[in-house]
Amino acid sequence: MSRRKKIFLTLLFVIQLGVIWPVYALFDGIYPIILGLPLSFAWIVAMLLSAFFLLLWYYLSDPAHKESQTKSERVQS
Amino acid sequence: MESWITVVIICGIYLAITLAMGIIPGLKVSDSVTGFVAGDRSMNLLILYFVMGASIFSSFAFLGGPGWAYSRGTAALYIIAYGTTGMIPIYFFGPKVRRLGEKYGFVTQAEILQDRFNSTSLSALLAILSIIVFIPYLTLQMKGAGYVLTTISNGVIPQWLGAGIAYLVVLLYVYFSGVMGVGWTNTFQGIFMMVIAWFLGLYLPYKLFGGVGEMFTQIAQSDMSVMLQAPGLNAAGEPWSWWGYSSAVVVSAVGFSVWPHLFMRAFAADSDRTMKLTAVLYPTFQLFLIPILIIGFTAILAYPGVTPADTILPHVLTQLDLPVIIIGLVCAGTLAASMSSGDAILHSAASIGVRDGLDHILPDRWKTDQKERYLIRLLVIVISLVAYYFAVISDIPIVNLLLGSYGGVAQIFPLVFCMFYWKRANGYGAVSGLLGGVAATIFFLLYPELRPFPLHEGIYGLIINISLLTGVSLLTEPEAQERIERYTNA
Repeated sequence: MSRRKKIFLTLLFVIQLGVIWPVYALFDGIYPIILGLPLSFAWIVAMLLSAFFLLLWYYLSDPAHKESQTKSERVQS
Repeated sequence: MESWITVVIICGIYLAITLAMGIIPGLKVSDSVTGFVAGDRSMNLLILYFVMGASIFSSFAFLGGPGWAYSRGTAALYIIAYGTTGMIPIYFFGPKVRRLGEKYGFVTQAEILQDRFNSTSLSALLAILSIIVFIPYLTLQMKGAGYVLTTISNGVIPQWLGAGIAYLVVLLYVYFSGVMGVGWTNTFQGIFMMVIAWFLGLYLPYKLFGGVGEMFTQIAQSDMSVMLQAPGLNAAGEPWSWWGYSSAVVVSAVGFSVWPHLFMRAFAADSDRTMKLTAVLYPTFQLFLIPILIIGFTAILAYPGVTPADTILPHVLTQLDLPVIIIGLVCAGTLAASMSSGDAILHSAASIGVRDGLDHILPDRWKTDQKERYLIRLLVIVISLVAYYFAVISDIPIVNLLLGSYGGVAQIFPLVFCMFYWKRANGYGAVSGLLGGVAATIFFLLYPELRPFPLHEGIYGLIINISLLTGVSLLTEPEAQERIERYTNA
């Protein structure tokens, strides 16, 4: 398994625990109110965004994806 | 002119536009089963993104979501929580499924699983499971559409007529255009309901409290502050346990990517890149649940005591002195949510029913492409009528079936995972795992007091499922090497 995949799976696991017990239980209160949302709500939104950026990073750093891009660039040139 | 007439006219225009958007793209796809079920494998990123997003956000999102936030507080965040990671598996198996579909002509979930596990009984089982889950789901969408039209017309349009009109439109474009009709209408309806949701979610707290932050601050200072403490309240109004909440999130997240009507869209994608980017971008669609839940939170202090909680959105709309055009647009938005899920489910149920059910019993002379397409269309009509019967005529509380559906659908996940990642898994293991998992889920749904821990019934199903899948596979012969390599190297 590549290092990239290990990092991805570890962070994914952390995010998964972030939306359930035990990590979410640390951020389950009302205060502070962040951008108008209570902490419990803002935390879930933060986890959603984290998952989005994690997968986006994984997609952009995909070696196969880079390779096929250079291949198509080569064809064009 | 009475204001409700204006609202009905707006909804009517909306339905007419949807019908046109649904029929026109169908003229361009081929006259084949692949054209009807998988859109000739030509869906680009824009369409696939909205098909996946809008299919999930049903009338449950517009009516049930605010209802949960209103009656159970932060428990409603569960809907965002399971979607956070639930779509990620699609990123990994979606492109594999797409390539295999293109190579071997699969168009449904059961077809690919049947081939990997070399088992026709597996495909029949999946067809039965899918249809049992889909019919109540569709029934619920029809009820939602009928309910909206009845409420806004002050009862002039009865429930049967409202549900009938909205779903006649759906029936027509699914019948003529198949999945491409679903795709284009969902793009239009998805954008429409996102705009409506953000507008309402920001406007309502502003009008009633002067802002979202101010609204939450007031709830925090009132005796309702317990609603904002995660994980909120359970259905009985008591604080929900972390066990109950966490296991519900896990089961729903596991099942999310293998819902048959979402899974089979992988066969419609035009490239691996489209499939991967759909999974990557999915959370941006999920963001639209934020304003939806805010609508429910806004009503906690402003309109206490409304029952049933699911009627909170229409209740708020009738209480506020809103311009009639806005009420019309919100109603059309709710119709959009109902129809954009209903169409995907109707289309998938008919496709699965023919490809994975009837195909096993039909004589060979019926299995031409043209006759099969004809049968799928026929089944579109039959399934619509069955769901319509349950929605407006029968009193059987069929919707209760939906409660168990998340746990049941989650049982498909171990099979999909092993299809690509565990060479030793075989047909016996898959069939016994699926049967055992579904049976355990149903058992603990019916007898909750027998659960050893207060976990979601689907967790027990998954434990039985995985044990049987691994145990039985190891005790029996593996599938042929050549067959397995097609999947592990996909």
